[in-house]
Amino acid sequence: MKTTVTAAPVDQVEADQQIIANVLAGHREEFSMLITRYSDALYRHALGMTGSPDVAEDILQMSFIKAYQHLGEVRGRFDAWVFRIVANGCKDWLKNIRRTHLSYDEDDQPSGYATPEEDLDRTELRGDLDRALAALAPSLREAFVMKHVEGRSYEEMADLLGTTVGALKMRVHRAREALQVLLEEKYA
Amino acid sequence: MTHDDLTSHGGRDDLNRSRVPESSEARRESARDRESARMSDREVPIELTRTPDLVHAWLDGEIPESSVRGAEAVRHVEFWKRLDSDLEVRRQMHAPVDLTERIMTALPATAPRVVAPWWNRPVSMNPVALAAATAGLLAIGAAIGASVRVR
Repeated sequence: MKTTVTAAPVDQVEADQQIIANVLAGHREEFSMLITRYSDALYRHALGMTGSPDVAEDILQMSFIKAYQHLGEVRGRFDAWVFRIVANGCKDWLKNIRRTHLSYDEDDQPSGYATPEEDLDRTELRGDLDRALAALAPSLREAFVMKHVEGRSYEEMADLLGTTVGALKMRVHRAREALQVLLEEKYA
Repeated sequence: MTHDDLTSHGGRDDLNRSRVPESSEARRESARDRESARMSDREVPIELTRTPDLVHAWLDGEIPESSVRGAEAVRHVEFWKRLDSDLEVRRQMHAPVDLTERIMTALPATAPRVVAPWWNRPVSMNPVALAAATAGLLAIGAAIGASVRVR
């Protein structure tokens, strides 16, 4: 299984702090650099948690506005701070919405598959996985998405969520087993 | 089974029920309803499958695929490889190209408030308040000194 490391390196942390200082000094336009730098990873998290591109965009928009308004309160890493704002936004949305079914808008996602049959298979798998993810408890879904979609290490997840590596491993393992129960019959 | 209970009463649905005694048939029906409601809340059954530890270790990137042996483990590996084809698509997803612009347009016109930590905030006092504070501190110091001498 492939993983991608998304932790911000030290020089990027310093660059973020410089941008924040500039924005606070009145260079409002520089905030766009922070949005561009982190929006893809945060979008993947919000999309994995909500299953809806529209909702994910709304959560990102609200989160970055909130981040801008409270930019003077950032202590330490901006990427971790803004992640927590987005993650809380997703959890609030999940608390407020009793969802029965939401899936990716097919028109939003490009098709890169060779044949229409393959495309159909992939679309079906995507829909089934969406439904299975939506059936997971939010804490399990969050851990699974961070591990398998965002490609974060357990250590980074623990840092971002304020919990232990052991607890997160347990959540990811439980999420995998639950997903396998839900999807195994069709895809084993 | 697992689900996050988001209700404030621990998921029990009988807190507001009337205390009027029910007939045995009504009780059975009520119990069936409660069980049915609980089952509909339970979205994911767990403990129905047991993924081998080796498979978890492979999924966590701790061991190579070649280390996962056994027919049962290989079945799990095939399942996850198939699922990974979709997860790979999700890993490549990007935020909409115009999102940055939309967020920048929606930002408030006022600049963010700068919040200095309390130890770094400027303190302003008029001379009268400064004299009063100094006198107060001297009085406290004198009181402490006197109590130490008495002992």
